[in-house]
Amino acid sequence: MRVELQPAYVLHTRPYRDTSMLVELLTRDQGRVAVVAKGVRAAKSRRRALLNPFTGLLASYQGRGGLKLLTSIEPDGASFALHGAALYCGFYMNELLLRVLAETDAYPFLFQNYQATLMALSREAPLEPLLRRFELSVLEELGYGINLTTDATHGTPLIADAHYQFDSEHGFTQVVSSSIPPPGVQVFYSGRDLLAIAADDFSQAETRLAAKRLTRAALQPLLGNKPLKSRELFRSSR
Amino acid sequence: MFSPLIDELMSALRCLPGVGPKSAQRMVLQLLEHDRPGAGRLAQALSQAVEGVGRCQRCRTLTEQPLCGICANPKRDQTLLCVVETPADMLAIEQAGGYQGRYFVLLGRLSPIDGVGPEEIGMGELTRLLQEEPVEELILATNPTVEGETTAFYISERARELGVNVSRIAHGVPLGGELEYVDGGTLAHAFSSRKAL
Repeated sequence: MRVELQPAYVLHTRPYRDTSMLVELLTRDQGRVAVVAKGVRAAKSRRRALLNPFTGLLASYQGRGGLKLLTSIEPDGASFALHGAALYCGFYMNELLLRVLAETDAYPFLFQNYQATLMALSREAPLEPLLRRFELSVLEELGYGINLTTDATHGTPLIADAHYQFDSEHGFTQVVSSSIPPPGVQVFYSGRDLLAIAADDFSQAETRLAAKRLTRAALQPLLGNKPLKSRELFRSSR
Repeated sequence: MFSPLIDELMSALRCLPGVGPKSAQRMVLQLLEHDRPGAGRLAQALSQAVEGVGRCQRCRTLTEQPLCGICANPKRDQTLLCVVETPADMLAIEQAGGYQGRYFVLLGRLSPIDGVGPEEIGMGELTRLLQEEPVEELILATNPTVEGETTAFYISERARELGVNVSRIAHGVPLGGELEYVDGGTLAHAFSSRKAL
């Protein structure tokens, strides 16, 4: 099977043999693809500079099995120079995708979303809403989308003044007011925050905090026991 | 085809980069047939080096002494500290000449997907160095890859908290090169970090 000039981004590279690299690509039409790039680590290779994360590529590769052979790459023009904390976010996105995406399942909107998020990161937009939107879209794309407007048990719309319990398999269920813990204890989600997330309004700090807890809880079953290493960078940078 | 000892030696030599079965065979035959004293010397040097060489306590480069030659040299400028990814990078800067300060070797770079975080690149030791020594300028000479930039940014944040000046080595057009053949990313970088004459 030959694939020509497929839009792609590098998610991760690993040295392989003396002068080659194993490269994980996120492609537009074929999702995650692993390719071997021969000879790119040789002293005179011009392709090494292209095979960096966050650089838009047109990749051509061939092969039938799991690991394809990269035959050529060209720059696509859509490259993003990330600086500072935006770099951490970029790595976080890459690590997340590598952990949750299966190989060669096509995720048509994910590629666009990834590209749009990188663009926003390179313009130094506020990081947190971007990451939350990206995480929610990844969940959506994988079929684990969260219904942020309906009570899953009672089938009624969420109410701003009520509190809800989240279960990653089930969804939101309203909790009776007597079991609501004092403010500061974060077990439940307030309806107001959930409706704000649904409306894509991250202007309040409480909403951002709730969204962070929510995406973590929802991603947890997909990630398993091994935590994402990129989170360490954020933690110690505060 | 060969006896077990020779086979073992050949497969052992193949741990070297660029050595396949054929080159390993050539090396083994050369050593056993034509150069027995050389083979003895190689064996001795190798086992001594593997036993004796460890890491410099201060900068983490390879050395058999507790402190490497550069760290132990009182003539080196103690106010300059250069951070590099590998001992090979340190050697390259030494051979280029001109730098008179000291080094710190990270032995890697931040790469969360590979499980390399701040602990693994020795941030604790680097922080201690910056606190204990009279360092005035920290020069970040990590590779100009995305991981290298991330590492540089991470270290620069930590160092600023400690009140140390941080600089990053310049990236640009190679000397004697022609602009026409320089890749776009490098050229864009060279333009954005141009300097007044």
